[in-house]
Amino acid sequence: MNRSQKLFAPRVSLSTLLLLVVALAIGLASWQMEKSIEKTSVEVYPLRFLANGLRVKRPDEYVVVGRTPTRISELVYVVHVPDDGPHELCLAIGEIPRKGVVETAQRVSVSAGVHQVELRYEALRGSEVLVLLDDEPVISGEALRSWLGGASAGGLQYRTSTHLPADRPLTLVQKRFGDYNQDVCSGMLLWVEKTQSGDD
Amino acid sequence: MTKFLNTLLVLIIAIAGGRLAMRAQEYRAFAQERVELIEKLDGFHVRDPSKYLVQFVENDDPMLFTWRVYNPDSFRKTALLELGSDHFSFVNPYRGPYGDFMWVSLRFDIIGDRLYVDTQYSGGGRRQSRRGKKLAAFCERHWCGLEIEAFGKGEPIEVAADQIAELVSITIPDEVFARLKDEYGEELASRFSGQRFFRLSYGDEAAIGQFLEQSQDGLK
Repeated sequence: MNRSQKLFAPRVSLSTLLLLVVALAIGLASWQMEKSIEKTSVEVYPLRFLANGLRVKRPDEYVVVGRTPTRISELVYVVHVPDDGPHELCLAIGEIPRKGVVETAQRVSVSAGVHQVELRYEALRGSEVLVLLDDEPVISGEALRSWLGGASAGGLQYRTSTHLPADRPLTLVQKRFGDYNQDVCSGMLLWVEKTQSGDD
Repeated sequence: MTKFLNTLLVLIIAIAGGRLAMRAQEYRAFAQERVELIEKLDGFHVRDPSKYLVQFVENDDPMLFTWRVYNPDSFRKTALLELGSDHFSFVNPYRGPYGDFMWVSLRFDIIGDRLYVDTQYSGGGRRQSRRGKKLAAFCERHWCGLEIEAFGKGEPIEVAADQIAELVSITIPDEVFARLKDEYGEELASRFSGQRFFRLSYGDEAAIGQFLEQSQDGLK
């Protein structure tokens, strides 16, 4: 090798080579890790759905999961209610907006912790709407005749455990009948919200 | 130059190594959750994605039947319901939020004086059938006397995609059949030839179609 060749030959120290090998190994391990995470998550997500499990990661929020119904015409949710003051379970029947909740509703207080909330309506074939809290009937209402036999929108939501902020109402059921594409239409709304203080 | 290169490499290794450690922790949590979920779901776990997987979910309601199901790709989910001499099939085109994983549920309900047979897929799709007063009364009185066999109890069962699974089969034992005749008349009893009360079969559309053809040929 002549002098000019020596000048332009790449000078890589042993330490640089070692570091390069380590960096490559970490790169390869990261690539394999991403593949493994992707493969496992593809398996885990549907299993979570099938398990219907409530996973409370942030207890200061509402956490909700829709449970696959044991009776076909019921909507069942498991709800975690945060311990930040009184909360209410509310049912409104009548004119239901596409978004938000309504003022007029039947209300029952619900304590902090995990509860099962169930709405039965169709099983009773249009005569009564029943809300059960931890298997106890707590609210009942009259279903409207106009619901029978027509189209409707709104079924089971929250197929996997979902966190939602506790400062906004947690809508569990928004069932709209008839011309449900309108902004307001006949139906029923079931939700949980923090009790209004009354001082406002 | 070497010093700069080495410093840069050390930085890259530190950042990538830290990220790798974090991702490894996430992976371990996922893997642990997967094991726990499979255990919670009594071993429901896809081993061969070309086959469909069925598992009955126990409950204490004798008129409710629920299965966890995994369907292979391009599987045309089809249910065939046979209630006595009546039968109808329906295809579920919906993939649902979790693609190939879903619930199938079947419920017999006596509401008022009618019998309702409801079949539902969790990803969407439902079929409801209503039957008359006599049948409702018979079910109310004699449901516990019927012989009921549900598919996939215990461990999940893998079924080849071209085969059908008989999810539930309900037959009327001799003594109950005699009471059906006595109490509700020959006309109603004649609808349950072979004393089969109900059968729900599940499979790919082509397999169900073939099964139906064979059943009809057998009747000719």
